[in-house]
Amino acid sequence: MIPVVFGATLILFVMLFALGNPIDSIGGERNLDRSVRQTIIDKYHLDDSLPKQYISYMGNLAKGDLGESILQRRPVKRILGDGMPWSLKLALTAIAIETFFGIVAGVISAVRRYSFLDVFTTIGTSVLVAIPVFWLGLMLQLLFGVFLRNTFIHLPVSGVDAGWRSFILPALTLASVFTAITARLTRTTMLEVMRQDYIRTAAAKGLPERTIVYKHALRNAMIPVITNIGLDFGSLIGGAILTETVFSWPGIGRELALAVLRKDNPIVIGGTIILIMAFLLVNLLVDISYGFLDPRIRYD
Amino acid sequence: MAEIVEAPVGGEEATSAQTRLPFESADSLLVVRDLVVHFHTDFGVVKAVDGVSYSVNAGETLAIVGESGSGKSVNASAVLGLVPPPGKVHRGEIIFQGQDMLKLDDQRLREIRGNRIGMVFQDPLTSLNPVFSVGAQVSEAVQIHEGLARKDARERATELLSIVGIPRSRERFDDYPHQFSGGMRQRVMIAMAIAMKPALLIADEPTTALDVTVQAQILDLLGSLQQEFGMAMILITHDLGMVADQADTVAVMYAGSIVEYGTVDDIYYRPLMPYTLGLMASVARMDQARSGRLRPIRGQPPSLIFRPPGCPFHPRCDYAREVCWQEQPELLEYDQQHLAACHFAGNLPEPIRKDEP
Repeated sequence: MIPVVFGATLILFVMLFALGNPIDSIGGERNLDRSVRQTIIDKYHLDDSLPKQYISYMGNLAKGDLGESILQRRPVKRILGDGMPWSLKLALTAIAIETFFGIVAGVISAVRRYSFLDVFTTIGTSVLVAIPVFWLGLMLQLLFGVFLRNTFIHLPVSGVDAGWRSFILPALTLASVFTAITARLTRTTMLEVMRQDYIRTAAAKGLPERTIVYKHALRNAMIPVITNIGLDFGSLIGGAILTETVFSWPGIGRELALAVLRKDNPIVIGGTIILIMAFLLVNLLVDISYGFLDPRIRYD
Repeated sequence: MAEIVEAPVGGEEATSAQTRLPFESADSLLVVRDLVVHFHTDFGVVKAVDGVSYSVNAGETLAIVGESGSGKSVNASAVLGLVPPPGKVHRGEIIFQGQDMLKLDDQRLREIRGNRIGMVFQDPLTSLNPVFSVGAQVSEAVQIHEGLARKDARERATELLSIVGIPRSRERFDDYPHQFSGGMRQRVMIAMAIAMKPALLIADEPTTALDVTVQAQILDLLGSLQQEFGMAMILITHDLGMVADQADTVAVMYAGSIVEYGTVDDIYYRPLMPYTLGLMASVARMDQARSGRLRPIRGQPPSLIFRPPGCPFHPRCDYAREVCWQEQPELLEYDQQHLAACHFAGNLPEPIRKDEP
């Protein structure tokens, strides 16, 4: 975990350094006054060499200091701390959608293979995987925010002011690709598991089809599916950049996107580190959870 | 090599023979008549079982012997209605205790599976569900048919595990399949199969996946359980040597058909069909002095999509004459209760191809 953080920050540092000085974006179109410019450079040590900047940054990081935003003049930790709960809530809602609809659709299409529902799911998931997330978001906004604005199913298209209703469109948008992939994976694994010898054994015992599918097969098929959903959670926290931007969601994804455009480097680096750590943490949790799902990998 | 010729398989439109099978009696527990199982694949129709008839009497053992791909396992799955897709029973009758298994609905079939017919499969490594404890899997077999309470089922399952020779069965109840050796897993499979004291036990190559030293133990266990419960048994194997002690009757299968059928003594000491002779010659026997090298049967088993015309064994047969690739021999009774499908059964001509190295 530690080496990954080191590596990632180093790569980021080099790339941001190559992008050039962040000062120009502070002034917008106009050039900054020379003395102001020098003050900022001194304050953020912008003319230090790359290794020097990196070492001082890592030193601060070890103390839990992520630095201060150049444009917002607030500690990066605070900015990200404000966004984190919203990103987490959105990710959790999306995970719930992914888990429920993905598994249900996958199991149905595996059990009723080649039926109308299976064909519908297969086509639907292909479409969802193919649609760019931001475009799907825009289309949902158009549908529920504009075309249906005078009906009772009208939904808020941005911000978080409307309570749970605010979550619906962003969470659906964010979950779309992941749900499609989970449905596909569930279908494939279920079909694979149903071909196993132990399913035949279960049938030879005289168990009814329902018990065979929902006890013997599903339990085995869930091992890779749940692993995958767990890993998705890591991607969802950080992968919300497009969704959060489209829906003006006050999470770290949008904060990060804005910071990249404005060259607010402390936020870019700090945000990335937080996302990497979240991703790695989720990975660790998934690894640990293996033991509960699969008795063959129990840690004694 | 079998040349690829699309040939009509004989007996396709023959109606199911109602004649009495050689070993059928009022005592017969299972009578299979003219069973045909087809697999519809992208490459054509695989005739896995092609008109097979046999019977098993209560308490007796029928061994079905044949190479891989001879249809012996599919035949056994068909008895329980467990032919895997895309396989379908095309025709035939499977009369078990007076009921045609092919005409039963799902519910009735389930009442028989695992209850009156138990089945042991080939590979105990893959035949147990990896995510449930062995105890739970055995209990399930009891619970489903007897509706026992969980605690009673546990008690009964523990008892079953010790019957099949699992030491410290109470402690090992909650262990998972991967914590057991191959032989022990097969014992668990057997415990599940005999949980309800079935009238018939189908053992599909029960020792093939096991260590040679364990094979004999498992066979002994099956034999003693059979005696204890008075079960009939269908023992499916490719190893003629294995069935000598256990079987009462033997059916030799080749390319989806029975090519020789008789008592174990007839098959061992008076084989009629060159394929059976070949099988005998390829088995190491302990009861005879070694008479040179073991002789494998030449060539490969035929494709079940394009069966060779005439006798399906003729491309590999040392005795094949013209008639063998022109006409398919019928399974006829040569001696009392000894059937063979061979044009020259009982008086084989000189072999044309002598032993090849």
